[in-house]
Amino acid sequence: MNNKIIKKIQGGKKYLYTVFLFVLLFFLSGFITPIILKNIANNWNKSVSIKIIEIENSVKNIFRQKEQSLFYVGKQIKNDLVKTLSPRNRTYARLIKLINNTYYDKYSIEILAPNGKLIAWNKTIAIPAQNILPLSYPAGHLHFYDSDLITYLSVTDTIIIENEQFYFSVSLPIEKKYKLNTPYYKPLSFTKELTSKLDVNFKIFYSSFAEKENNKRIYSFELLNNNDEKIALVTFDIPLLENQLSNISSYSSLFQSLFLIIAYLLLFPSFRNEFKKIKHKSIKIALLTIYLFLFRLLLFSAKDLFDFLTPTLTNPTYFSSKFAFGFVKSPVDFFISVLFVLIISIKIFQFCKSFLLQNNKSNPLANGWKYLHFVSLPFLLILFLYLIRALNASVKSVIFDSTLRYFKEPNLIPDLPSLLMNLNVLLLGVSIILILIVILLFFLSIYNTLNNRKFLLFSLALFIIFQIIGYYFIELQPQPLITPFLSFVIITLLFLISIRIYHTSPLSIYNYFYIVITASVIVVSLMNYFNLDLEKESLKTTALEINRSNDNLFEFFVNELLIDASNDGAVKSSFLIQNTNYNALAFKIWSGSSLQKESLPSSVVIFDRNKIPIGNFNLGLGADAVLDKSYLNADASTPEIFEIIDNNLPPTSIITGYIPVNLNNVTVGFISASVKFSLENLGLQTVPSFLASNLNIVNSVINLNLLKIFTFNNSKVTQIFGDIYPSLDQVKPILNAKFSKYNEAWIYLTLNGEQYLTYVLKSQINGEDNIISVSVLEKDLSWSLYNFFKLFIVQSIFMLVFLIFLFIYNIKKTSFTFRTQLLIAFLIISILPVVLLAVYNRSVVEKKSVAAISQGLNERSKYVVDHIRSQIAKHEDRALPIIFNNAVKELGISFSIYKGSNQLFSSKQQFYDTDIFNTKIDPIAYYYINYLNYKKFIDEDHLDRFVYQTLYKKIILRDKSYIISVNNAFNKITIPYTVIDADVFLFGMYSFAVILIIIFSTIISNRISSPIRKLTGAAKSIGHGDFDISLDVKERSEMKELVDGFNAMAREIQKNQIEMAELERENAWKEMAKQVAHEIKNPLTPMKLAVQQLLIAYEDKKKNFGSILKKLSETILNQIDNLNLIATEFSNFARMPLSKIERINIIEEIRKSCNLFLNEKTKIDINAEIDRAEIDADSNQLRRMLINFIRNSIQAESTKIIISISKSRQDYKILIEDNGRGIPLKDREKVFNSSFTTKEKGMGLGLYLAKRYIESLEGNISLLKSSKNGTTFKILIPLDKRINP
Amino acid sequence: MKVMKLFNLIILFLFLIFLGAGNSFGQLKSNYLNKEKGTRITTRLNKLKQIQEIQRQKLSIIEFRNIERAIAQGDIAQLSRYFNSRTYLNLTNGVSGYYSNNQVYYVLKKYFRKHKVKSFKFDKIYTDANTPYAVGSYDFNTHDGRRSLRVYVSLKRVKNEWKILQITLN
Repeated sequence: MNNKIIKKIQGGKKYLYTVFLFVLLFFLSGFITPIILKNIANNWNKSVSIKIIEIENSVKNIFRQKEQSLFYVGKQIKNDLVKTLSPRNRTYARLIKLINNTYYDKYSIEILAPNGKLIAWNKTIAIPAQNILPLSYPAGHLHFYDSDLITYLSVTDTIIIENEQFYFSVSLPIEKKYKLNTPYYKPLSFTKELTSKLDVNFKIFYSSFAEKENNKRIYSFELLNNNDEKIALVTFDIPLLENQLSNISSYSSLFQSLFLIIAYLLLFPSFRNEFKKIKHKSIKIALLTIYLFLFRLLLFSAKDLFDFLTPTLTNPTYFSSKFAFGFVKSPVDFFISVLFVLIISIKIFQFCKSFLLQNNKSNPLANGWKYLHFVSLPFLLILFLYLIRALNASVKSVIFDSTLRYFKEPNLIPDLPSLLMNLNVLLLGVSIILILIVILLFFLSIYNTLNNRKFLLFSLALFIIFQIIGYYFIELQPQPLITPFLSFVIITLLFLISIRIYHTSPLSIYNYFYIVITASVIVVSLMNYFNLDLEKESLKTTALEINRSNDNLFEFFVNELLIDASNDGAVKSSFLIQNTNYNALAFKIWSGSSLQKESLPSSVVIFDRNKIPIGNFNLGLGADAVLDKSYLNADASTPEIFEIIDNNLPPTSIITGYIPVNLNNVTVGFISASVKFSLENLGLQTVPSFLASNLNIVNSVINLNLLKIFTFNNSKVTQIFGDIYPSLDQVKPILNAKFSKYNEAWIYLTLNGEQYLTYVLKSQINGEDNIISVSVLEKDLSWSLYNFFKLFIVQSIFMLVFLIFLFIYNIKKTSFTFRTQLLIAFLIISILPVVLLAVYNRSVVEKKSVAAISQGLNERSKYVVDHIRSQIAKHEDRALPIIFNNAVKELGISFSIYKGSNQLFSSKQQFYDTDIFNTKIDPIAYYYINYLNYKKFIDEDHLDRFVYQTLYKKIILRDKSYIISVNNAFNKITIPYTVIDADVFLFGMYSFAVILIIIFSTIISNRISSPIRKLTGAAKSIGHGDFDISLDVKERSEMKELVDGFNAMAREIQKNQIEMAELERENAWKEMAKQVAHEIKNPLTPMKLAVQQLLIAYEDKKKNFGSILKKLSETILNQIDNLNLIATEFSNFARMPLSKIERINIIEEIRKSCNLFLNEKTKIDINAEIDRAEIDADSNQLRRMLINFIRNSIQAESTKIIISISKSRQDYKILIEDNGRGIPLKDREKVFNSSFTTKEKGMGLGLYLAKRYIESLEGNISLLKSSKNGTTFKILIPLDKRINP
Repeated sequence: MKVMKLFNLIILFLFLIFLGAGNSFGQLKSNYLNKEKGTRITTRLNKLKQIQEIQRQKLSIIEFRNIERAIAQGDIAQLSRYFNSRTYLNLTNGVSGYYSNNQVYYVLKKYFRKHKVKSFKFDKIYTDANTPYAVGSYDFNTHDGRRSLRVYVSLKRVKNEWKILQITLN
C-alpha cells in the first residue's frame, strides 16, 4: 500500500502534491488566524497576567546574566590583586598593567589604596575615586552607579592583605544618557535591549528610591541585587490586546506569503518534464519569462517579508527608483529584479548564439529568408543603441537615486548595502551586455567566410560603421547621457568580446567570465562618469544647503530643543539633585537635538533659578552668543526666541531662545539654546570629528575641502569658504553672470590662473540681492584611476568568485593536460609575487601613516613646549595657566598638561567638564612614562568607534615635572597617503593585474600548448590505426621541426604499413600456393589411380565392372568434393584482412571514437535513440571507420557533427551529419572508390575501406546528401538474429 | 524550419524591447512630456508676471494646504508633485540629507507606512519669508499609544512652481 502511494507521488508529480500542500497551508492559515485571534481575545485577561509574569522573569534572567558576568570578572580581579598586592612583590606599575589587560576592556576598574588614593585604573573611569569611598553600598553588593553620561552596573569590594584594606570597584556600562548622530557613536541601552527582546516598551529607573507609579497601563517591579536589595525600578507597558492581535496578524500574513512563494517556486520542478518537451526554444524562454515575471509580482506583493528578512537592504535611502512601478525601489528589490532579467538574458543569449553559430557556415541568405534577415537589421541596430542608452540611464539612476557614496566608502570592502548595489549594477551590466552581444553576433553572421582575413576585414568595417552611428546617436540627442568617447569605449569592448565568441572560441564556457569582465569595466567607467556629474550637481546642492539654513529653520530647531528639554523628566529632576554636573546636562540636551544632528555652531546653557549660568556646552559659538540673563522670564510658558545681530558680520545672526524649567509649578531653572549659521562650518572644520554629524558623510558628494564658496549681499562679499580671498575683479563674472529665469547660472571663474566651474544662485531677502557662488577646480572633476579601482576591486571579488564557480562547474571536463599545467604554472608564478608585493606595500604604507601621525603630534608638542619655555624665560612671574592659555591662543594647537596623573590644564576644557573625556591620565601612558621612565609615549585610544592617537611627553617646567599630551582628536593631522588610499591603489591595480594575468596566461598557455595538443591527438589517432593524418603548424621554432618530423613519420608508417600489408599478402599467397599445390596433389593421386583401375577393368571386361565403376566413381567424386573444399577455403582465406570478431556495442564504440576529439573546436553530438546496439564485428575496424568520418568532417571545416543511431526491424541506422563545406557534385559518385581523394596528402583509402568493412557485415553505406551546408552519410548494419531474436 | 526559428528570434526581440528598452523609451516619453509642460509653464508665467510679488508668496498657502492634505491622507503620489530634484529630508528614523526625487517618494512612502498618520495639521504657515515655511504636528499610533512629531516644511520656487525644499519630522 505504502509502496503504491510512494510510487504515485514520485517524479515531477511529487512536487505538484507539495504545491497543493502549501496552497492548502496558505488557505488554512487564512482560516485559522481569525480563530486564533478570537481565542486570544477571549482569553486575554487570563493570558495577560501570565505574560506579565513571563516578561518580569525574562528581565530578571537577562539582568542575572549581566550580574553574573560582573561577579565573575570581580572574582578574577580579586584573585589577581591578592597576588599582585602581596607586600613581597607589590608594585603599582604591575597593578596598572594587570587591569589594563585587553580582557577587561569592557569593564571599568579602579583600585584604591587603604588611604583612599586611586592607585590603578583602566581606560574608562566610571566612578571618581572620591565617590567610591565612603562606600555607598556595602562591599560586594551590586548596584547601579549614575555617572554624568553613563549608568553603570557596579560593585565595590575590599581585599585585606596583611591588615591593609584595599578597595576595588568594577563597573559595566549599562545605559548611555546621550545620543549622538555621528558615524562613530555606539548606542548602549539596557532599556532598548529589553524592549527589542521582549517586544514591550520599557522604562528603567536606576535608583533604589524610585517609586511605583499609579498607572493601570503600566506594570512595575523592583530589580533586586544579589543581596535582595532594591537597586532599580523596571516598568513596562502592559501588553495590549490590540498590539498582540496585530502582531499575530502580521506574522500570519508573513507565513501566508511564504507558503505562496514556496508553492509557486515548486511549480517549476513539477512541470519540468513538460517544459523540457517543448520543442521551440523561444516558447520556452517566453514561458520562463512569464513564470519569473509572475514570481516577481508575487515577491513584490509580499513587501513585509523582505522587510522582516533583510531590514537593512530594503531601506529605500540606499537606493530607490520609481522606474518599473517600484520593482527597483530598494537594493534588495533591485537585486531580485535584475537577477530575473539576467536569467532571461542568459537564456536568450544561449538560444541566439547556438542558432547563429549552427548556421554560421551556411549561407542563410541563399535559403529564402534573406528578406526577413535584412528587415531585422535596422531594427536590431536601433535596439542596440537604445539598449546602450538604457544601460547608461540605469547606471545614472544607481548613482543619482542613492545616498551611497560608492567612491567615498571608508573601507576597501564596503558595507552590505553598498556591496549589494555593486553586485546589482554588475548583474544589470551583464544582462544588458549579453543582449548587446547577441545583436552584434547577428551582424557578424551576415557575411560568411572561412577566410580569417576576410572575416576580420568585415568585422573591422562593421566596427567602423557602428562607431560612426554610435557617435551620431550621441551627438543628435538633446541630452546625451554619455560622451562620444565613452560610447567608443563601450562599442569597442563589445566588438572585442563578440568576435571572441563568434570567431575564436564559440564553445568555451569561460566566455561568460570575459563577458562579466567587460560588463564590469563598462559599468564601473559609467559609474565613475556619472559620479562626476553628481559632483557637478552637488555645487548646486551646496548652494541650496546654504540657502536652506535660514533663520526660520534655526528658530524651529531652537524651539523644539527647548520644548523637548523642558518636558524631559530626567532633565527636570537633575535640577533637584545635588552635585549635578550641569555641563554634562547641557551636553546631553545638545546631543539629542537637531543642532547636533546638523552639526551647527551652537550652544546650550543652563541657568539656575536665580538666572545664574551653572553649566554650558558650546560648540563654535563665542561667549557673547549666550543670552543675557536679563531676558529670562520665569512666567514664560513656551520658548521665547530672539535674534542677536552680530554687527561685525552683517548678515549673520544668532538665533537664541530660552524656556523656564518648572517642577510642580515652581521654576527651578532655565535652559537656553543658541545657533548660528556660518559658512566656515560647512565642511565641519570647527567641529571635532567625534561630534561631527554623519549628515556630512551622507551629503558629501564632493570633498568639501575642494570647494570655494563666496556669498554676496548687494554685490559685497560677506562670507568666504576656502582659502581664496578674491579681489573685486576676480568676482566680477559672478556678479555679472547671466541668471536664468530661475535665478541661477553656471559660469567659469578664473582664480589664481586656474579655471573653476561655478554655480551661482541668486535670491532676494528683505529686498536685498543675496548671491551664493560655489566653485570647484575644473581639473578636480575629472576621471580618476583611483575612483575606477575603488569599485573595480569590489567587482573583481564577484568576478573571481564567478570564475571559481565556472571552474568547479567545468571541473569534470577539465583534465590536467599540458595546457592546464602550463596555465597553473603561469598563474602561480605571476600572482604570487603580485600578492606578496601588495601585502608588503600595504604594510609599508601602514607604518608610514603611523609615523606621519606620530611626527605630526611630535612637532605640535615641540611647538607648544618651546612656546611655554620661551614664555617662562621671558616672564618669570607669569602663572602657568596663563602661559598655557597664551600658547593655545597663539599656536592654535590643542593640548593638555598633567601633574602626576591628574589633569592640570586642557585647551578643550569643556569636553573634560562634560565628562566626555577623563581628566585622569591614560593609564598605559602613565605606566610607561612614570614607572618605566619613557620620555614620551604614543597610545591609541578610542571614543566609541572613533580612534585617535595621543602623544604623552614628560616636560620639566620651573623644576617641576609635568606631562603634556597632544592628540589628533582635537588637532586634525592630515596624512598625505592614508592606508585606504594605499589599499585602493594597491589592490585595485593588483586585482586589475591579476585579471590581465589570467587572460594573458590563458592565451599564452593555449598558444604554447596548441601544437602539443595537436600532436597528442594525432598520436592517439595513429594508435587507433588512423594513419591518414597530417598536422599543420604555423610556428617556426623546434615545434615546427617536431611537427614536420611527426608528419613525415606518419606518412612513412602509413607507407610502410601498406607495403607490409602488400608483402604479407604476397608471402601469404606464396605459402598458400604451396599449400594449395600440396592439397590439390593429395586428391589427384587417388583420382588418377581410380581412373587407371577403371581403364584396366574396362579393358579386361571384368564381370563386376558395374560395381567397380560405382565404387571408383564415388572415390573420384569424393576427391572432387575435397578439391571443392580446398577451393572454398582458399577463397575464404583470400578475404583480407583478418578480423577479430567479438560482441560490440556500436554506441559505445561511437562514444570512444568521439572522445578522441574532445580538444577540437568542433562539437560532436551523439543522438542515440537506443541504449545498446550490439553486433558481432571487429571493433578496431569500426572505430577506424568512425575516426575517418570525423576527421574528414573536421577537415571540411565543420563546427558541429551529429552522429545519430536508431534501430528499425531490419537494421541499425547510423547517420553522420556535419556542417562542413560539403562534397562537390562531380566527386560525389567517386567517394567510395579506392585511391580517390581530394586531400593533398591523402591516400584515398578511408571511405573505400569503410565501404568494404560495412559490406563485410552485409550492411550498406551511402552518401545521403551533401551541399554547401554540410554532408550526411548513412550506414545500415543488419540486426544479428542471434542477438536480437 | 529555419524560417520558423528566425520568426521565433524576432518575436523574442520584440519581447526584449518590451522588457529591456522600456527604460530608455520611458525616458524619451518623459522628455516629451516635460517639453509639453515647458510650454504650459511659459503661458502660466506670462499670467503670473502681472501679479504682485506678495500675492505670489501668498499663493504658497494653497500649496501648503495641498501638502497638508497629502500628508494627512498619507498620499505620496499627491505629495510627490512638490518634490524638487533634490529634497532635504530629516526624519526620526535616522534619515537625514538630500534625496533625489525618486528616493524621496519611497523613503516617505515607507516612513508613512510605518508611522501611520492619525492626524496632521499645519499650526503655522509663514508666507512672507524668502522661503515660505510651515510648522505642524504629525500624530501617529505606536506600540505604546499615540505619538506626536513636529513637522517643518519649507518651500522654494523652482522653475515657477513651488517645490519642497525640506521636510523635517522630529
